[in-house]
Amino acid sequence: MKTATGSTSSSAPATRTPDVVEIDNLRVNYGKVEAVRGISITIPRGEVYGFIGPNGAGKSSTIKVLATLQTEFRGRAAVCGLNVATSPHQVRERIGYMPDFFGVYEDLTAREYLHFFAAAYQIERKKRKSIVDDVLELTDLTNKIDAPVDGLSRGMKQRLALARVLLHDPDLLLLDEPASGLDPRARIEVRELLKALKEMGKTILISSHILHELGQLCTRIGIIEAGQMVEQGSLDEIYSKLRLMRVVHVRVKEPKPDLIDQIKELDSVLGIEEQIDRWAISLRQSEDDVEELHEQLVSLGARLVMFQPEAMDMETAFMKLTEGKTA
Amino acid sequence: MKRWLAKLELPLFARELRELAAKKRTYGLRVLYSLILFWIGIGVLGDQLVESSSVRSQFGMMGNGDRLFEALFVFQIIAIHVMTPALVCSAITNEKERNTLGILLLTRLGPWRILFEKLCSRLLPVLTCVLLSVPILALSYSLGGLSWNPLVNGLILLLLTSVQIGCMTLMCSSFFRTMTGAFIASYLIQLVLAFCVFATGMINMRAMRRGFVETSFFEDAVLGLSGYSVWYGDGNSSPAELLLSKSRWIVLSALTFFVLARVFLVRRASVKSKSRVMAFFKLLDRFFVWSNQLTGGITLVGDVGSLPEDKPIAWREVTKKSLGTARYLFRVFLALEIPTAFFCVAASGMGNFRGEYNRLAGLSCGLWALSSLIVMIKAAGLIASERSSETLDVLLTTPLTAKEIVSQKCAGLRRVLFVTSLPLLTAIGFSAYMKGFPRSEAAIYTVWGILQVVVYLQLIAWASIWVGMRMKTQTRSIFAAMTVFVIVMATPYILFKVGDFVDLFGTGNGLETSVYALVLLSGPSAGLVANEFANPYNQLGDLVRWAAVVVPVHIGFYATLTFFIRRRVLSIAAARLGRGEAGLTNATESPDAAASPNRLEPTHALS
Repeated sequence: MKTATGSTSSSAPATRTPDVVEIDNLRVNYGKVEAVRGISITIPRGEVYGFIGPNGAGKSSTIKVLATLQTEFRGRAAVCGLNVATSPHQVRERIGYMPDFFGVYEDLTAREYLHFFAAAYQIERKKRKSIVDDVLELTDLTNKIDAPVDGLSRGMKQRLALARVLLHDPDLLLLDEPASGLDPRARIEVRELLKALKEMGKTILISSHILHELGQLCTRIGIIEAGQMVEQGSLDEIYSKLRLMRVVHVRVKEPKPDLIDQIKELDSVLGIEEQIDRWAISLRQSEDDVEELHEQLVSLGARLVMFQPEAMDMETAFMKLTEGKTA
Repeated sequence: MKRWLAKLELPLFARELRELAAKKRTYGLRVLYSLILFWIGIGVLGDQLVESSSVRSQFGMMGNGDRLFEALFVFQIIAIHVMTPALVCSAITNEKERNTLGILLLTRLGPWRILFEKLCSRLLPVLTCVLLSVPILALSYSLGGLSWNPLVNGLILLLLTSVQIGCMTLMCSSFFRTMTGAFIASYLIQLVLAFCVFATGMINMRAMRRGFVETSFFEDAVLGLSGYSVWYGDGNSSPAELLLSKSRWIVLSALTFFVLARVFLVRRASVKSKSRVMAFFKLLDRFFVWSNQLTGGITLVGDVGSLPEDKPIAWREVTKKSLGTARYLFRVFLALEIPTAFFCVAASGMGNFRGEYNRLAGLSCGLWALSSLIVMIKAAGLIASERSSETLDVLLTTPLTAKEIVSQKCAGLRRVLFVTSLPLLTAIGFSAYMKGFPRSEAAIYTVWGILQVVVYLQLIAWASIWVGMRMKTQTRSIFAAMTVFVIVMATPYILFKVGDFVDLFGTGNGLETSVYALVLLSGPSAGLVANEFANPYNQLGDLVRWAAVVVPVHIGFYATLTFFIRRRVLSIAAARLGRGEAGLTNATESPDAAASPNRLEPTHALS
């Protein structure tokens, strides 16, 4: 696995296939506001990369750079080895961009809409019909082919937008909040569709607020806050790193008066917080063995009623890693 | 006491004023208004000096304050009719477009208070402008020739007219979903009202000439709706009488509009946006489908293919837009052409007019105004419509270049240009016939007229696209294009007036034809007026001698300008639309050639 700041195409061997996305020290400014502050990301082919961050963190700005819609930025951004700044036209042929709004023409039917973009992507005329049928089938919209876009539900519009980005079979899908504003059923439908695309080997960069869905879908995630990458890696890597700062909730029956001081003196313990019905013991970053803490507490004579390491999931990780700052 | 003070708080009014104060156009409007007032003052006083006597001194102006006041009053009445809808039409539609009207209605403010605060805040800039005229009105009073009553009555009527037009526009703003709808409707209502007042006034005058002194209730009501007609008829009555009696129809109409605004505010708070022009055309479609059952299925104008082929954006422009689809444009053409032909035939049947002034000049000017407006609305909204419907970003990530996107967007506009130019050419053809074509004067008129149609409409279209590309919303782009249009159209007349004024202290012979010829180059409107109104009996008639120089230079200049604006629009399209297009020529850069797995179809290289 590559590190955040590790590789660029210049350092790669000449025969090596470039990564689908290479971003190195990306900076985006809107006037005096620095929306993105030196982000570096590398996404190899076939990976689903989840981009997580609060509103205003810089996710959409980063995606817009890759979608060639952000002309002013510093640093390097490349798609399939093509520099976004110098070869945006070639980049456009390799990406499928779905913005965080529908971006559909309400005066067209689903068929007209897809044929419109098939023509815009200059797909051969004789192949258009079969491609449109394929993507409609994939997105389960075949029965809505002649329905006006205006009359489709939000979930259907979102699937239609996904069908659009698949028309020219891009190397990279840039999906900005694809599940935003959808009801639970529509969200599940979109998630299943994205899973199908993942199985097809598509490289996807997806940003979302719905964290547990990203957890099920992504091979790697990047957590961004105030324009800076807070952490990135596979889910296991992030959980593993977070475990270093793990909190264990402990309740002891009739504790000795000096027990709390004895716990504080343990090498693995960073601190202890006395709560109403429990103690929250924070472990040091280098001492992550929860089992060892359990043994030490027992050896100190503590009669444990509760020993509960804090549950780790995407939301916890996100809350632990971010502070709610914006750029 | 505190409760009363709390009730006096006007939160919406305060917010609107804060927003207004933050906008540069608020101050721009005031400066422009002051400059126009100054220009009118200079113009009227200058004319009086010329006319007064051989002694060119300030005393020549004395006793002529009424003329200055009348000029200022007429300008301000027109300005109120033009300005107020533009300022008030977004009062409620803005809230609807931002989805905040529902929240406002749930507060304790209540519909009446919302409307009242909105109206007050939007009328304030209009009244500020009227206030700007007070010093120059005082000057007109001090010159003499103007009594106290017409002065005070004039000010009262300006105030009442502002409120009346404000209430009418507020009603439109409550009724319509979008600002554009409210804007167009408020001007259409004014147009209908102005026509009714004008027609009633004409009937009334003819009746008075025949000895009928009494006016009917209906005539009284219609004439009483206009601030100008009230001032014209009852300007010398006492202010109290004016307020209590003569202005009753203005007050009553304002109240009616305000009550209707209240009714629409709640009933149409969550109305959906839809194209009314398209809805109207679809209604006509249904009628024609029904009537075709009787006629056996006659198709005058067929539609193009149902799916896009090579130029998708152009396809959408000419198949899905009301001002782009062939059969709908054919209807627009008939709606413009039939009345035009009717007027032309009627005018040409009234006798021989060789050597006289062009009796179709008024029609031509009206058609120019209408055609320019249609072209401007269509062109200015081309890109902004994509922005406001959030489809531009999606289009920009396709391999189409920005130049292609703009060019294809113009497909429908080209048709509009063609359709709007036909009635103009009809009017020119009839005028040429009446002027005695192929006589040299008529030939010059015809050639100049045709060239103007070809060049000016293109100029308006490309300039509007240029202005519209910078704007985020359709309404803003239309407003901006209209502002630029008005400034460009007004420039030659300001130059004429300034030239005339400067000449007062020069030779004393007025402007020479050569000066007119030079000023003609300063704006398309001057060229238009010169071509339509030049005749052997006025000063412009001498221009015929200059035609060999003026026409080629004038048309050549604007054709070149159009060419450069078009080129500029296409060259800056990528930057204005918001994407980079570097590397378009660098197609040889070696991309990753490896195809992704499970490819549905191969990607096609851009030609």
